[in-house]
Amino acid sequence: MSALNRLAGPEIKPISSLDLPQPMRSQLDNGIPVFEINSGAQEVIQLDLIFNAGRWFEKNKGVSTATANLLKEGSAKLTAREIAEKLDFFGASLKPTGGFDRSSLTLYCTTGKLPEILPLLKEILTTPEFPQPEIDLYRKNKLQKLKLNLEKNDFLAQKYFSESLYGEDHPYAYHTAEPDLKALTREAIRDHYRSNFGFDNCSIILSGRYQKGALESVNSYLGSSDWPAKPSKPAATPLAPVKPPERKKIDKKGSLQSALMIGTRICPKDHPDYLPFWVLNTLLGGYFGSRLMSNLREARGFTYGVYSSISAHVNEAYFSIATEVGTAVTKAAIDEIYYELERLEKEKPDKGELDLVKKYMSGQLLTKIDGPFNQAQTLKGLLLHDLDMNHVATMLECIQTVSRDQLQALAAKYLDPSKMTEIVVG
Amino acid sequence: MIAFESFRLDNGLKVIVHEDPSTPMAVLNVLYQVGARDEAPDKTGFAHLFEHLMFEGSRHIPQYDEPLQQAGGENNAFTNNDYTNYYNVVPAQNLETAFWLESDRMLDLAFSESSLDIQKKVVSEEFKENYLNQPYGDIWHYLRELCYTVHPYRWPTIGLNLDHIEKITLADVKAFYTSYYHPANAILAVAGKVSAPQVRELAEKWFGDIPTGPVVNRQLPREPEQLKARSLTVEKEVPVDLIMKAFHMSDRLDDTYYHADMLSDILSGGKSSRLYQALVKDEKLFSEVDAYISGSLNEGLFVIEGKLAEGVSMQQADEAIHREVDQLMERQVGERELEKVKNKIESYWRFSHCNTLSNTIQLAYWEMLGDADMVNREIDRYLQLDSRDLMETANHMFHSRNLSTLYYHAKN
Repeated sequence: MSALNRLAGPEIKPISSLDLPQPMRSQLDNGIPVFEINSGAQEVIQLDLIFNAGRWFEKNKGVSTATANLLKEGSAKLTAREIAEKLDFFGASLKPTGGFDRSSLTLYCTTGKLPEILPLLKEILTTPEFPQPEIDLYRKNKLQKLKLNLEKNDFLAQKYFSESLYGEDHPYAYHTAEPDLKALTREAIRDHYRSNFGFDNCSIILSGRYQKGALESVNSYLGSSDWPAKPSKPAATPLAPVKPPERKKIDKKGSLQSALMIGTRICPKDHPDYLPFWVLNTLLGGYFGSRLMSNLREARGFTYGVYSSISAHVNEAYFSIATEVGTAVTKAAIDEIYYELERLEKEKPDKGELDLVKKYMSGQLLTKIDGPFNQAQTLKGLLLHDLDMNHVATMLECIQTVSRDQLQALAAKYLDPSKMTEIVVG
Repeated sequence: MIAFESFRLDNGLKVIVHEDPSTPMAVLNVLYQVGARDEAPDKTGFAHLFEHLMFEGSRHIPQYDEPLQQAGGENNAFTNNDYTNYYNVVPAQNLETAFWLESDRMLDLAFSESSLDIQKKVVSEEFKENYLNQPYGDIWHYLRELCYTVHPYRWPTIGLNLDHIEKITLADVKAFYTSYYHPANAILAVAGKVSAPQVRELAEKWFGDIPTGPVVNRQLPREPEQLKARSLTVEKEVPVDLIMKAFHMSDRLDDTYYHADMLSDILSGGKSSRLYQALVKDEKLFSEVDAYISGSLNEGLFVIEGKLAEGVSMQQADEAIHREVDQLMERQVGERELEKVKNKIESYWRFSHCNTLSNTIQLAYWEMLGDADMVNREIDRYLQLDSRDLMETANHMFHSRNLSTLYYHAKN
């Protein structure tokens, strides 16, 4: 055996293609589209019920989140406690999510228990009562969480940042405040439910390991057309006009760190710039080896972490850099961030650096399709934008083909420091 | 069932392999049996700072992360009071890159004043971000010092204060590395789209020639039995009052560990649990309440913590918690309630076995405790319990002499 060469390291094999899993597509008797991902070693199931019922579709601030959260707090036949007792007894959990564009209800359970849980799920979905005491309790606890969040610099930075990008009342930006919570009525919640939680506004992802009968069981409970909610969509919220960039400093006494957010609105997800920009974002601040992390953390020790990211809603997307830095270096950290933005604009990235980013990103695509629950998560994100699993191959293609010139041009187009909104809290 | 093979290299490195052909990834995990409990009392936070230094390059490799990113992989690490765990998740075809990287930093880590200086700053920002500049971020600093008088669990992994981290020298770093970072004190677990013969060959190739180090002879002081109730009151800039109660409990492998864990589920596992129903919903004394165990290897803690609803006094909160705890001592948990909690534990257990990374870490963890196969059998220790076991442990644990309470008041 020859001596081990520890200097060179093993040869790295590139990811040239992906073995894309394709979810089985079908529909329930009432037309609800179903995507099945039947794999994995454990007999467990995740059932996602996704509704176009997020903030974008609400008439009052805070109502979409409240509706999602209160769905399981009482039905025609069962009290909140009885529902909780049954779910816990089945070893199941039912997690509501109220989002910007969608709301969802996700059931996690062992496969064997699914048939017993489905009647309960139907009861919850089709006969929610939204009892007043449950609404009161929700409001009270939410208010307390709100108070806590208002003490956190990173929360405040995010709040001012999104308000600055879209305006204080926009569904992608507004911040649920005390008066909004106080104004939340049972009637508004019931109205949001009736206008959004119908079968013709729903899609289902069934993932995990199960026998063929599972889908039939789902169909026999959720496939009927007797759901009371009759979705009637309000007129779409107009897109917020792009505001001139704002720079804001909020002092908070006693802070040891400042929370920073710097960013701007970018093109929506269906724009041809979007995927190449995603590569640019990774290079700048999207992974541990990124320029921002190397500069602010690894070279200077200004922060525990700094990341840039893209948040893509259905109708809009924005780019942001977020970090928390020691108050003694706040100004220096901001300067370094702008320096990195300018550098992207002035010079194209080295070939070696871009190659590294490409290899890293290609490998990370594999984690998106690793196992039934990652696949379900990926699919859920894609469905939001009317995309399917094949889009993962498109992402790989973009990673492989994007050029240094393209990235420099995108930096000039989207990341000019003069276009950035900048929030500093603390 | 997580099937695995295990073997040991001549230098003492334990290796575990779990084949899972359904994933395109491979995980390589190295657990070092060293944590914050092994630190000197005047240099706390060291084990965690050391974890940061493990990414600053080794003899043949200037920087850890970059080659792994070239391989399309991701890596991270965590430190707790008992052990330090490093993991790499890579596309399976590039598994060997992770072997190369992990073995080189076990063979010979590169040390420098400049990387030590930078990482001290980074850790100091981490300390501020998560513990100091965060409402309630320091509750465990207070609680640990209250509960433990001599055991090194009295400080948290991040360290007692920023000065301790500042004091650490390059000589300390080198000595720590020599004592703890060697094959006989480590466990290598590899899983995913890998084969046992392949892993055996790679382990021999990359780790086989690393010299073994001194046997770790750990002599931790035993915490003396607590003889009377303790409490501490602090006042802080937070929005609402918080109460935290902790009882000493058993070591990790004791039967009563499982009793305690299940008692915590009876109290706060899920929305139908006792504390949520009684104290949040019915009496509206708390906005949030939780019971859990610390999960440490030696003498752990059983903790109940809650944020008080507006207008509720600490005394009311205190009494309400005691009422619930007393019930566990006075009355056996009913059959249906016990079955419910067991169902929840079983379901949770199955979900927690769905992920290759967490399976790999679990295998290494149980191997550290003496038997990797406990990953498959531990569930039985829960399912075999009955209500008498629970009541007995409740009576043993929940007496007031064994209790420490932190009253964390909001200013004004």
